[in-house]
Amino acid sequence: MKHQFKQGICFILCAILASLTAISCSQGSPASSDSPSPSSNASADMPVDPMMKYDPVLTINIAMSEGNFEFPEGEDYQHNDMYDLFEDTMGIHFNNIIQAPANAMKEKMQMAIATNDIPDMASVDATMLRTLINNDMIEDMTDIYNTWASDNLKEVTGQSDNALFAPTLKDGRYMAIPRANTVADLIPILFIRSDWLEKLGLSEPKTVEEMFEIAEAFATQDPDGNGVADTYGLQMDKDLSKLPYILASWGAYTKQWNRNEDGSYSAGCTDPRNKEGLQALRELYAAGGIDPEFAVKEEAKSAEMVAAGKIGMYIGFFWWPLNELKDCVANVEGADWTAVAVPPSETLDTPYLAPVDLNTAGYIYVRKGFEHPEAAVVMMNHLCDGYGAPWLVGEDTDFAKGYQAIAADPKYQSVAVNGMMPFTMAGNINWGPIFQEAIDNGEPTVFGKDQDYQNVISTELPPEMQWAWKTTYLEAYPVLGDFENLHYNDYTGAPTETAVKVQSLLDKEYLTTYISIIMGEKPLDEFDSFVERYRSMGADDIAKEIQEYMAE
Amino acid sequence: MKKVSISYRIFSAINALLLAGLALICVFPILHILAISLSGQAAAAANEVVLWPVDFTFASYASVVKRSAYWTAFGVSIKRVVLGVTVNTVLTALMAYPLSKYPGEFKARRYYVWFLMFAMIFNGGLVPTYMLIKDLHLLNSIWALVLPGAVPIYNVILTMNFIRQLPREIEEAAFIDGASYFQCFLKMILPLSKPVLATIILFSFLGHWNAWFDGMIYMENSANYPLQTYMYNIIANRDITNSTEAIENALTNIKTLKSAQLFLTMLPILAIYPFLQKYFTKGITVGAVKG
Repeated sequence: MKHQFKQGICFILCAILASLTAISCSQGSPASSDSPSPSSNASADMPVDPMMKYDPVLTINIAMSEGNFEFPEGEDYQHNDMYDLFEDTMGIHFNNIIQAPANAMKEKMQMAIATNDIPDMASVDATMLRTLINNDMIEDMTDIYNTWASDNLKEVTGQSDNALFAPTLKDGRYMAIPRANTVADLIPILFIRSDWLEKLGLSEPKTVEEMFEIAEAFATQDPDGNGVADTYGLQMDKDLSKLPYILASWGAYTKQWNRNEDGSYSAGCTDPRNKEGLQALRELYAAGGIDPEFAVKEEAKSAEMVAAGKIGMYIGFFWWPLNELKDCVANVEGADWTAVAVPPSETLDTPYLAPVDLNTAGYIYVRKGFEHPEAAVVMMNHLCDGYGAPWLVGEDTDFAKGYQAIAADPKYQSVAVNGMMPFTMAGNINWGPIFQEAIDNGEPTVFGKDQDYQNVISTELPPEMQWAWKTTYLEAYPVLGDFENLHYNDYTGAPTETAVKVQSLLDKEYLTTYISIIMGEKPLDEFDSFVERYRSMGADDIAKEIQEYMAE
Repeated sequence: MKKVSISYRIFSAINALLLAGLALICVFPILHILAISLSGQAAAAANEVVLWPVDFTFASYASVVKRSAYWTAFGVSIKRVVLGVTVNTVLTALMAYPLSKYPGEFKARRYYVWFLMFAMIFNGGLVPTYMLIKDLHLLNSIWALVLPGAVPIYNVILTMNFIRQLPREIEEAAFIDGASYFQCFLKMILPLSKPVLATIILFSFLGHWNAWFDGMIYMENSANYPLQTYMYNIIANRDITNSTEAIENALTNIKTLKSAQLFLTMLPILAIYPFLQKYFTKGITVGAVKG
C-alpha cells in the first residue's frame, strides 16, 4: 500500500518539475551579445538575385491566417492555385504549419512562442514582434533587406524614410520586414444621408461647424418624416472610436503622441485644443443630436441604428457602404448616402489633417537559424512588382499575370483572392479614379483589383449590393484624393515599459472623462483636472521614455 | 381529503406564474436566434427582429448546407462526443466501483482518493499541458480532445456515492452464489446504476459538445476544429488589419447566417436532453445527499 503512496508523491514531484521547466523555457534568454553575430545561414554565399526562383523548391513553414470563405471542391488553404503560383514563380513552397482563423491566431502564436517552436516565417503585429525580439527568437534582417530588396520594394516598403520599420527596430537594426498596406485604409470619410439633406434643404458641410448644424437638424427636424423625434445626427459609441477624427477638425490629435518644440512628447488627449471639439459635442448632445445611450453601445450595436435608418452621419472608411450602410439602403425606402471628407473647423489655420497610424498590415519575421532568411525579401520582391505596386512595373511580371488569372477564374468567384495568399502587401494607390476611368472607357477588366471591379460593374447582384460596391469605389474612394494632408503619430514604436503597465488605466480615464464631458455630467473645465490626473497616472513617465528612446 | 385553503391556492397560482415567467426567459434567447436565422439580412442588421421573423426566408439555412467547413466541424464534434463519452463512462464506472468499497475491504482506497483529489484541484497550467500534448504527438489528433479529460473526477465521485447507497446485501448475496468482484460489477452494480450512468453520460456529452478552447489550442489546422471552436471563431469579432479583410468580413459576417449555425448547433443537445432527463434528477440527488 505504501507503493501507491509513493507513486502519488512521485507524480506530485513530476508535476512541479514540469511546471518549473516550462516557466524557465517560456521566459527565454535575452540576447547574449550586443553585436549581431554572423548567422550560419546559406544566404551569405549565394549570388544576390532579388527576383530569383529557388531550385530545388524551398519549403517554408508559416502561420496562415484564414478568412471566412468557402474554397471550391477539393481545394483548401494549403492546396490551391495561389499556393501553386507562389511555388511556380518563386520556387517557394509555403507549408501551413499553423493554420487558424484570424481570431485564434494570437493564442496560437503565443503558444508557439511559449514553447519556443515558432514557424519559419509569419506576419505578426507590433506587440507580438516585440516579444519575439525580446526573446531573441528572430533573425536580424537589416543586411539581408539592404542587399536583397529590389529598388521597387525599397520604394514601397521604405516609404516616408523607412517610417514603416519603426516598430521593428532593435538597437537601430531591422528585425522584421513590414508589410506595407495602402494608407487609403486609414483615412476617415464622413458619410451623410443625402436624402435627408435634400429633404431639409441643406447642403454638404464645408466646415465642422456646418456639420454639427446639420447633425442637429437631422435630430430635431424629423428628416424621416414619421412625426416622431426618433432620429439622431451623429453616430457615437462607447469606445469613442470615431471621436479622434472629429477632434482633428480643431487640430487636436487625440490618440497620438505629439512631439513638442522643445523635443518633449505629450499625449494628444491632453491637448487643450480638444476642448473646442468637446464643447461642440456637448452642445450637440444637449440638443439631442447624439443617441443618449451611446455610452453603453459598442460600435456594432450603434451601427444597428444606422441600418434601421435612425442616424444621419457616420464617420468611417471607404468600404463603409459595404457595412451597415447597404442594410440601411435595403431597409429604408429612398435612403441614400453621400461621402465627403471630414471638414475642418473655421478656426483651424491648416487643412484638415487626418490622424493616421502606420500603414502596415503586419511585420514578417524570420525565425532565428532559418537557412534562407533572404527568402522573405525575395518573396516580397515578387509581390511588389505588378501586384503591390502596379504603377511601378505594370502587369508583365509572372506573379502579377498569374494573380490576375486567378482573380478572373470563375471557380474563385466567391473566394476573396487576397485571403488565399500567405502574405500580401499593398502600395498607396487610389482606385476610385482608375475604376471611374475604366467604366467611362467601357473596359471589361481592371488590372490588380479585378475582382472588386467586376462587382462594381455587376448588374446581377442584389440592388443594395450594387449600390454598395458603386458607392465604395466611385464615391467614397475618390474623396481620398492623393492621400495628402495626413497627420502621423510622432511615436510609432512599440509600447514603452510604463505603457505596458498603465495604458489600459489611462485609456479608461480618457474614456470616462471624455464621455462624461460630452454627456454634460461634468463641466467642460473638468478637462483641466483630467489633464493633471492623466499625466500623473503615468503619461508623463511614458513621454519621458519615448523621448529617451527617440534620442537614441 | 383535506380541503385546500384559499391562501394556498393563491400561493400556487403566483408560484406557477413566476416559474412560467422564468421558463419564458430561458426560452426567449433560443426563439430570438431562431427568428433571426429565418429573417432577411438587412432587417436583422437593423435589429428589427425580436421573436417573429421579418422578411421570412430559408436562405441562411440553404447557405449553411453548402458550408463544408461547418459540416466538417460538426463531424469532428460527433466523433469527439462518441469517443469522449465512451472513454469517460467506461473509465468512470471502472474507477468508481472499487473506490466505493470501504477501507476494510480495499485498504489502499484512501491513497487513490488523495491522488484523485490532488489532480482535481491542481493542474500543470496551460503551457506545460500544451507541451505535454505536443511531446506525446497528440497535436492535431482527435485524442488530444479526448484523453486529457478521460477521467472526470467529479463524475467518479458522483458515481461512487451512488454505488455506496445501493444495499450491501445484494452484493453479499452474489458473493455467496460464487460471483467474483468483476461479475458482481457487471451483472449487479452496473444495471442498478442506470440513473447515475445516464447522468454522467449527459455531463460528459455536454462537456464534450460545448468545449471549444482545447480545440483552438491543440489543433494546428482549422479542418480539425470541433464545432464549438468553429462557432467561436465565426462569432467573435475579428481583428481587421486592412480593407481587403474588412470587405471580406462585411460580405461574410452575416448575422442571419451566424444565427442559423448557432441554432443548428443547439439541436443535438435539445434532442438528447429529454431522453436522459428522467434519470437525471435521481442520479444527481442521491449522489449529493450521500456525498
